[in-house]
Amino acid sequence: MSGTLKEHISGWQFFLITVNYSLGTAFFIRPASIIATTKQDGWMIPLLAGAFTLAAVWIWMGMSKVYPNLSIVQLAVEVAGRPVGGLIALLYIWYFIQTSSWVTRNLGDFMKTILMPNTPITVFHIMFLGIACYAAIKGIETIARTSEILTPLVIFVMVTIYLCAMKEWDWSKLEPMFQTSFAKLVKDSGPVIGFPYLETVSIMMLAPHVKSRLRTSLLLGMTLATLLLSGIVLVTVGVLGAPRSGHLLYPLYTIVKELQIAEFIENLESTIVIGWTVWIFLKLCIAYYCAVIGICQLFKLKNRAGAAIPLIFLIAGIAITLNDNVIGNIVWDKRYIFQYSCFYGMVLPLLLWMLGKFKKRRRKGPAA
Amino acid sequence: MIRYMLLISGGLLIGLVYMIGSRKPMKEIAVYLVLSLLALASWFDIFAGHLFNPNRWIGWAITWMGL
Repeated sequence: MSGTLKEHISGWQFFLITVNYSLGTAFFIRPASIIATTKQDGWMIPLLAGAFTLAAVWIWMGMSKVYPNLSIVQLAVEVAGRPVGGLIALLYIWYFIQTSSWVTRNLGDFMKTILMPNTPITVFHIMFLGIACYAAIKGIETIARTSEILTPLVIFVMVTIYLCAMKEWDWSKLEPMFQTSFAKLVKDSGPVIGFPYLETVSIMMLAPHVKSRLRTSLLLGMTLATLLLSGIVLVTVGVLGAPRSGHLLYPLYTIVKELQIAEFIENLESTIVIGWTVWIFLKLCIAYYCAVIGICQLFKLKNRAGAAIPLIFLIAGIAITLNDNVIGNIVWDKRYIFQYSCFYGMVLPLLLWMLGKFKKRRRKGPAA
Repeated sequence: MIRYMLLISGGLLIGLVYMIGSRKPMKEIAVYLVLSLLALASWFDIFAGHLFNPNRWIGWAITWMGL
């Protein structure tokens, strides 16, 4: 239960965590906004965004190599000193709390809009946050093992259902293809780079816990997430068509809702809801854990529970405050998410990397 | 609204009493207290009509920087 206890996760577990964190909410939320802006060429956006993310991963790996045993929060304090580094650490803790709130709100919006419109949104928030809090107190090994058990199941369910949906596939819905200019593709990929790719910087908090193959796991995880995201945009356009998908909030849910197998298997939406809630749960657990462990590392706390329990109510409150409704979230995401995520995913890691290298070189100086 | 706030405050207060009773380090109690107060402030803000919206502030800052 100690906040500073050394826990270990394998490269495979970190790979699954990367996939879950990148796709947890994006798999359901991103296709609609991608198709709304780029229509039939939307499947290229995740590929472009994924390619850009390689630069970010290079920075993250460089940062983590400076002090391999330190997380971002510890690294900030180590290389930038207590006052400035503490401020950077606080900014990151805020970012983890905000990400947790976003994830919670996405879940609440989905449940309230689609499944249970009469239940107050906070009920979903508190219930999920309660379990995430318990998982965060138990530690990253528990979260990683949960992820190891649940991820293959979720991916199997998703892939099976979407393969079944392929019978509705229509090539003509993908036409006209390759009509978007490269400049527009780059511009449209901005919000996708921000969310989910740069948001994944949070999992660098777990880097010191990874026993081996950190870089391989991270790169493979990002690659799989990119391929799955691009694939699901393609399937959505091929099945529903760009005009219809672009106007739906959750096009994947609609695909599954309209799916009928062998004329008697229908109403499969509950399966996809279970799959998505599992994915959201895993992402929420990771973001929540990062927030808790960040607080524990900054203030040198031994017990995680003291920081984890009040966070339930804080995150539930921020989740309500973030946006007035789903539309507000979409508008904010389109305008600001790239710039905001770049600050945490590119600017601060680059700064910490440079400061770390400079500090190490200066330490070596007098000895040489 | 008042009932909901009392429920949250009561829950957090029980936690605080438990922490003091089990002689947890002062630093842990302080962090718990600060986070609890922030949580209560965010809920009070929701019931007071959304004066604090982090996304609006972040958006304002990004626009101010000309990005």
